[in-house]
This record gives sequence, C-alpha cells and structure tokens, in this order.
Amino acid sequence: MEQEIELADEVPAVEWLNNDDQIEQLDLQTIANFNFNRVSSDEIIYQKKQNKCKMVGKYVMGDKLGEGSYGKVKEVLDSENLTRRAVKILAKRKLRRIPNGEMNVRNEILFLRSLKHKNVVELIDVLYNEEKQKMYLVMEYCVCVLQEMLASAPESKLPLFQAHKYFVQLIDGLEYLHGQGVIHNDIKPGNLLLTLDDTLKISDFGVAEKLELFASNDICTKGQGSPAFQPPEIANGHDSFSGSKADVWSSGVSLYNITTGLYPFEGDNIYRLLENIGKGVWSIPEGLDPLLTDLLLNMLQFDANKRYTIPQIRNHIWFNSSPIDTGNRVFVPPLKGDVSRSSTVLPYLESYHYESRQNNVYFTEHDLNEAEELARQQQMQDSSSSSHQISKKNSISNDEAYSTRESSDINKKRRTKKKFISCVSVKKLTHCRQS
Amino acid sequence: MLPEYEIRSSFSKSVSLALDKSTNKYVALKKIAVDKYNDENFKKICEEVKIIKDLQHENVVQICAVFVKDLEVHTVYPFFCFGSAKEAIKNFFSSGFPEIICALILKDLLLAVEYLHSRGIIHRGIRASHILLNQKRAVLSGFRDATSLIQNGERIKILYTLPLHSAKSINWFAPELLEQNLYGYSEKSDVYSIGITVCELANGIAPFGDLPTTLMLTEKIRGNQPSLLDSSTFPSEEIIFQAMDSGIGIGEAWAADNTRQVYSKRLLSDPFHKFAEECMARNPENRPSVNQLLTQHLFFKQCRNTNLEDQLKQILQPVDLNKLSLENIAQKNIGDSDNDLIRDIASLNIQANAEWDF
Repeated sequence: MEQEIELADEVPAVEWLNNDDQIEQLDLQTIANFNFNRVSSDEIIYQKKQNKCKMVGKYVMGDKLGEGSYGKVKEVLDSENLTRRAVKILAKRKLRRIPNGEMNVRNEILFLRSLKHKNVVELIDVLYNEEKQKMYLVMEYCVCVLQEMLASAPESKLPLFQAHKYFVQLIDGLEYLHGQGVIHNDIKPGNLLLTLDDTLKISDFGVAEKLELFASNDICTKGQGSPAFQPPEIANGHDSFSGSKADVWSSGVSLYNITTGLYPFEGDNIYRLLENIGKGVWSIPEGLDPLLTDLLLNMLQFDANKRYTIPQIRNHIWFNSSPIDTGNRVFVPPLKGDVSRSSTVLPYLESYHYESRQNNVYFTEHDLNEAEELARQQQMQDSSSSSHQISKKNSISNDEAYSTRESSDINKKRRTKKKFISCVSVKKLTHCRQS
Repeated sequence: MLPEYEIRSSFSKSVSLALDKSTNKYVALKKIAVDKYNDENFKKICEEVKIIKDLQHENVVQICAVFVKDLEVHTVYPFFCFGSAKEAIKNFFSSGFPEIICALILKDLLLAVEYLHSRGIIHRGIRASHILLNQKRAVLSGFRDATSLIQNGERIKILYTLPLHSAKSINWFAPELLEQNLYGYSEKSDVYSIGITVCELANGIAPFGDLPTTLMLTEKIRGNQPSLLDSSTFPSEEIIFQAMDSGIGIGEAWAADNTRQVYSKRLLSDPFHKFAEECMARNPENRPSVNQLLTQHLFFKQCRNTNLEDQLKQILQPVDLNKLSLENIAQKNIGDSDNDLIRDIASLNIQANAEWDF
C-alpha cells in the first residue's frame, strides 16, 4: 500500500512554504509548460484505471464527500480500528487565494482541538504532508449534511417534529460553544451535519471567533458568514456586534429554513439581499405553527438587544413542546443510489486485497484500437455460434459489479479491455495537466 | 493492605488475587487509576459497573464491591479458578476444547446472552477472553462495550456506532456492525460474535487473528466465514498453501504440525458445524436469535445428561488456594500474562499422564 505521508509527531508544526514567490514560481512553471501540442495517437500512453488504495497516515482514502472553498472533504477509514472518518484536505495553494484562508484554518484547528460536545463535530487527528503542502484534518464521520437532506425533502422542508429534534440539538451545541467563548459566526443548514444515529453536529469553524477568557462582552468584528444568514447589524455594516446574538439570528434563519423550505430574506444579488436584511422586514408563511411563529419572531428580532438569548429560547414553549411524530420523517437520501451510504473506502480495499497485482499496465491508443477491432471480430464469430452470447454480454457490461469478479476467466479477460482508462502521461510532454 | 481484602498475589499490573477476610473467599481485584483516565473513560467504567449491578443471572459476572482508594477505582469480582476460556485454551487445550465442553460452555454463554437481550442489553464484546470458567459454570464478563437499547425511556431497535474500546474485539464484530452504514445493527450482532467465539473455543485459535484488519473487514463483508476445523473441513496441505497465498485466515499456528494432526483426526458433529455457520450468517436477518438457538438447536442435545462440572473434573482439577503458601506464590515469576498464576496453580494438579480424548 502506498504510504503517502508519515503520521506527524506529537506536536506537528505547520511547515508551510512561507515564501509566496516560491509558490508563484511553481505555478508559473507549470503554466509555462502547459501548451497544446499535437500528438499522434500512438504516443499517448494509457494506464488501466484502478481503484488504487491510497493511504494518509493510518487512514485509507475513499471517495469525495464534498468540496468546500478550502479543499476537498473525503471519506477515510481508520485502518487500525476500522472507524469511518471524514478528512478535510487543505492545500496551501488554494488557501492563499482565499482572503484570510490560512488564518481561518489555523483558527479552526485551534478551536476544534479544545471543543468536545455531542453536538459539535470532533476533530480526531491532524496530519501534514510537507512535500505536497497539504494538511489533513481528520474528523468524525457524518453521513449527511442537513442541507442535503432538505434538498431531497418534499418542498425542501422537514416535518415539525423532525425540525424540532434538530433545532434542540443545535441550541445544545450552540450553548456549549458560547459557554466555551466560541462564536460560530456561520450557522446554516449547510454547516450542520448528521451522524448515522441522527445526531446533529455543528461543523465548519473557519470563521468562528474566540472571545477573550475574561471578556466582559461578546463583541465580534468578523462577520464573514454566509450572507443569507447574517443579522441586520452585519448587513448594515456595523463594525462590531454581539456574537452570540448573531448566532441566535442565524439559528433563527436556519429554523425558518428547515421548517418552511424558504428563506426569510431573499434578493436577486448579494447587495439586494443584504439591503433586505438591513431593513429587517420579513414575513411568516401562512399556516405555520403559531408557537413556532412566536419563537421565530423573537429570534429574528431586528434589534439585537431585544433578540432572544439562548436561555430565553430554552424557556420558550415551542422549544419545550414535543411536536407529534406525523410519520413523514425525511430520511437521509441515497448517495449515488446507495440507500445505506456504505463506506466508499470498501471498493478500494477490495481491489487492493483481491485484484491480481499486475499493476502498471500501459498501452497506447493504437493498441487499444487494435484490441477493439479484435474483440469486434471475435464477437461476430461468437454471435453466429451460440445463444449464450447474450448472457455473456450482460456480464461484461456489468463491469463495476463485484459479483462478476469471480466469473470465468474468459469474461475477465474481456472486461479488462473495456475497463475505463485514464491518461497518465504523454510522451515528450512532461507536464500534462488538466485545466 | 486494604481493610477487608488481603492481597495475595497479582496476576498483572491491574488485577490481583485477594482474600476477602469477611467471607474467607478468594476474589479478583481489578484496579484502575482514575487520574490516568480522562472523563470519558471514567464514565465508561461507571456505566459498566452500573450495567452489571442491574443484572442478576448465574451466568453473568457479578461485582462484589466497588470502591475508590488512593485515586484508584477498585472493582471486586468473584475469583474464577480456571480464568477465562482463552486462558484455559492457552494452558490446557491448545487445539480447542472437546466438543462436549464447548457445548456446555456455549449453553451457559447463550443463557447469559439470552438474559441480556431480554433486558435490552447488547454485549458487543463476546469472545473467549470474556468467558470466565470455574468448576461449575461459564460466566460472561467484559461489559465495557455493553450498551442498553433502552435510551431516554424508549426502546431503540437499531444501533450505529462502533463501540469505543473496539480495537481489541474488532475481529469478533459482525460485518454489519463494522460497516457503519445506515442499516445499523441490532442484538443479532452478538450472535455473530458468538459464532466467532465458537470457532475460537473449538479450534483453540481466534479466527482472523493474523490478518490485516482491513482484509478481515472485506472478508466479512464478502460473507466469508471461518469454520470449525476437523477431518471434514480441515483442508489438505495443498489448499492450505493456496489459502496462505491469498491470505485467507490461515495463520502460522495452523500450519504447525501438531495441531494440524489433531484437527485432521477429530470429527465434530454436524449440528456443531451448523451451529457455527448459522451464527455467522452474513445477513443478520438470517441469523437465529439466541433464544432460537437455545431452544431449537440440536447441538445442545448432548448437554442433557451431563454438566460442566462432570466434564471438567475428568481433565482439570482446581486448586485449594488456601494450601498455597504466600511465599510460594511470591516466588513465582509474575510475568506479562494475566494469569500466569492460574497456569501455575492448575498445572500442579493436572494428572500428569492424562490424555485428551478428542
């Protein structure tokens, strides 16, 4: 198994390339070499595509779960205790292009390391690869983003009992965060994750702020969260604002969103949107539960001083009610057809453990065409001879299914020809880079 | 020296043999330093104790007492003269227990697990090292990963999370438990662990022992299951080499001539094979419940006219600990193994020429 990087020692220092010019030069070099040359087809070398098993530290890499502005999030498997995890991959190159990117990441690591709560996503491990200038944040595995679930739900909203369940957990987590002096600054369904057992986890601390230990107030200055969830005081461009009240507002917008499928404020563009928020005029859709409406009115209170605090939310009747289970619970939607959302690392392990070790099968397009021609001729012959043909064909087309892995040798040979291929290198050109 | 318990000897750093002065009985004393553990671990210990204290069954381990002294939590368990089933295998039955003893141990184990399941508790750590043996019965212990299906006053049907202290028990886990997907797992995952334990008891070695964990995972997910080794299943040498090539469940230990001969000479009953197979069915829905196994399985027919005490008496005899002088124990080299002492003690009383009847 390819050992990509070593597990960093106890207190790994971030050894980023600090010279930006150096990186710029790296980029330039790559771009300089990136021009379009004509190449004849037999000069392009292909390699059989494999589910190549990659490892980072003790973690086996799986498929991509999502992509944020900072980099990919992939699923991984801890090869020692077989726990599913998620890893946030951060590349220095990308971070540089984002305002405050590096600061934000440092922030996030710092916060997450010190936080531990049922409703806050847990940072398990941090790994570094100096050569690649990458950082890996290993986190608890969550099966779904709340937003994803919303998108799959009818009218993009959850039944009240389910929304209530998540909201209570959101407030639990938020209360803990504020107690730890952490203002999240970016509460929204896109940052709320769900675990397999339907526990909500607050994630993404990129723009969170930590208050001074003995600070007498919770004044924040950053406000870099998502526009639609920002309170009026930020939309109106105030320099400083109450952090906890801002989080309460965003939680209010989130609650509004998951119960109605709508946003209290909209706008054709970000300026219109902020303008609308700044005015603070919004309406409750008809037919919404009156108690919930009352809670929303108090959470989406224009004046931050009059806006509910978390203890007030906790005392609200709707918060303490338990809406009836109406039986129309929204489930985690299938991922690429997989209802169970099984580990995406498994196919990589399968191919690592069972597929024959004939790695690095290279061939050119010329070879490929010849092989195809040969196969076509063979098929012509076969079709005239037997009626088994159809079933054979089926098993060939069933390329990805493991069930056919153990089928007869004849099928196997054919299948390899049809396997997906990827261009790995082109003769003469050293840098072949996808745009 | 503790007020009521006089420590006689230590089995390992954390477990010692002690004499309960009030009852004049021997107990096992387990101590865990509190300051070494973080909150979570301490909570786990508390939970474990709480679960065991709620249980009352002759095949479930009891806790005699729990107390804190010098920043250490002491848990007092009754003393089991043969240690755990794993130790008994290591010391006396290197190629596994004879079938009849397996059946008797398993019957006790199933009674314990049936009781747990009826109370909504999943054990999640069933394995030979968690089965304690004395002259009369087998008792289930090791409740660190046990969990209740009754949470917040509701009975939940499905669990999802991998137990915290799973690293050691991982080879015994059911495939659906390891998969950690939205289908989750239920008390049927205990039945799978029983299946692996059956192999461990009968073969003398735990399945998947020397496989990389990731291969163990894919093997289980593919539905490949280990089997009981006897003349009907034990592969010829050719197959062994093939299997070693592909890395499927054949360890160095299996290749050892001695044990191989034992396997190829003995014949385990059909119901025994079936029992193991059924327990390890890939799909939890096809796995029988513990109750079904106990009441309907032919395998337990052989237990009717005998009991563990009679069977063990023929082979092993426990020691009267009182006869052992303190110095005698102190002189023994207390090594890394938890139960060197038990081996030392028990070996004194084994009939030197006893031949195992497999």
